[in-house]
Amino acid sequence: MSSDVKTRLLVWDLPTRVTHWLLVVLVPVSWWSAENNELQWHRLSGYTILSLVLFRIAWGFVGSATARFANFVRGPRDVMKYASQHMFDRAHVSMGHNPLGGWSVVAILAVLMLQLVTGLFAVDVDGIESGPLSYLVTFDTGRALAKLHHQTFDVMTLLIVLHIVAVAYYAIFKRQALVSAMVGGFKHVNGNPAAKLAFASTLRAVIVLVLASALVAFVAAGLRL
Amino acid sequence: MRRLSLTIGAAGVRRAAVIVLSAIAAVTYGAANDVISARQANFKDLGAAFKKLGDELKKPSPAASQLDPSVARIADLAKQLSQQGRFFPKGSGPEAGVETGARKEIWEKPQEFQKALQTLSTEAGNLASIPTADTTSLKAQFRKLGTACKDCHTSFREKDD
Repeated sequence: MSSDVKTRLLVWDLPTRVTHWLLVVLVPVSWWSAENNELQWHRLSGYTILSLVLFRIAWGFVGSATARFANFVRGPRDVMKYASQHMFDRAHVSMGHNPLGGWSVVAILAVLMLQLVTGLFAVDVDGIESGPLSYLVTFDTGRALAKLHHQTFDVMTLLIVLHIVAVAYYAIFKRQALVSAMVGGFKHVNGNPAAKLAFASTLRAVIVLVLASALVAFVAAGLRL
Repeated sequence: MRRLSLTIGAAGVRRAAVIVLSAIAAVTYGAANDVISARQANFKDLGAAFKKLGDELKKPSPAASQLDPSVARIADLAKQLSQQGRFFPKGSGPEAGVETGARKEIWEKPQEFQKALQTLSTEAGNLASIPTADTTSLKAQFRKLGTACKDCHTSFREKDD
């Protein structure tokens, strides 16, 4: 039986993995710096996260096969099928994001973007600390966006918890070590897949990241050169 | 006889006290509401003026015409806040029953609090004494004033959100 044969296959490229783990570090850094009024650190952490998220979104169009939105954002039919069958099938392994997980990626990226954009315009209650674009809005608008910034964080926390619960489910019930796959990049897939996944070069990733960072530097300077 | 009248007297006093106190409570409750609204409006204006000043100072070449009104506004609002008893009378704390970030420590450590308000007023006055052409000194004083705000907020204001 070919399904008994397990092949060790590279699934996640280095840029995707590094982006993922940097987010794991920096989201808590952002939370901590905000809680402790270290707004200078909060801004720096936020700018780095913005660069990473912009990179990841761009990588979803020009990156490796498993990173591309076109390959993992599926319609409701696929999602339903996955959620009702494959999710409970221990033998089923997804090469990249599964149809349900794909939407989790989209949701996390979307809420991160909302969090980042509201942060750019946010003003603290005293008008002392503010995002780099807050000078474009009134004090009241800046305050409203700061409150939204707080609320979207709660939504993001919920999504992160959901994500961790899902990974735990795969580890316990499906015996799939998704964490080590995201660390090392390899998954054990069924059979011997003839078609290898297409990977984009690391140089391309560096170019995209530099462009994203340059854009963020421009935003951080208040859209002033 | 004497003892009896005393008893009646005490009961009468007690009844009168209850009436007077409830009247005071009713009046001060409304008054506390008003004073809380007034001080919140003051702090909000101060925040808005601070933002305006900060926004202008962040520009490559801040305009004095834009800086002057904000600096004057900040100095004026800070001075008003430092007037003892004006914005923080007794009864306008958490016990007032309206939403306020004012912590009970304001009334528990009145001297320390008044000193903090005085620092605000002094630093705001120092800000106003800087010629607006000297944006480097303005920026430094802006930060100093910001620290004065934060120091006081840490001890006397509820954490935001």
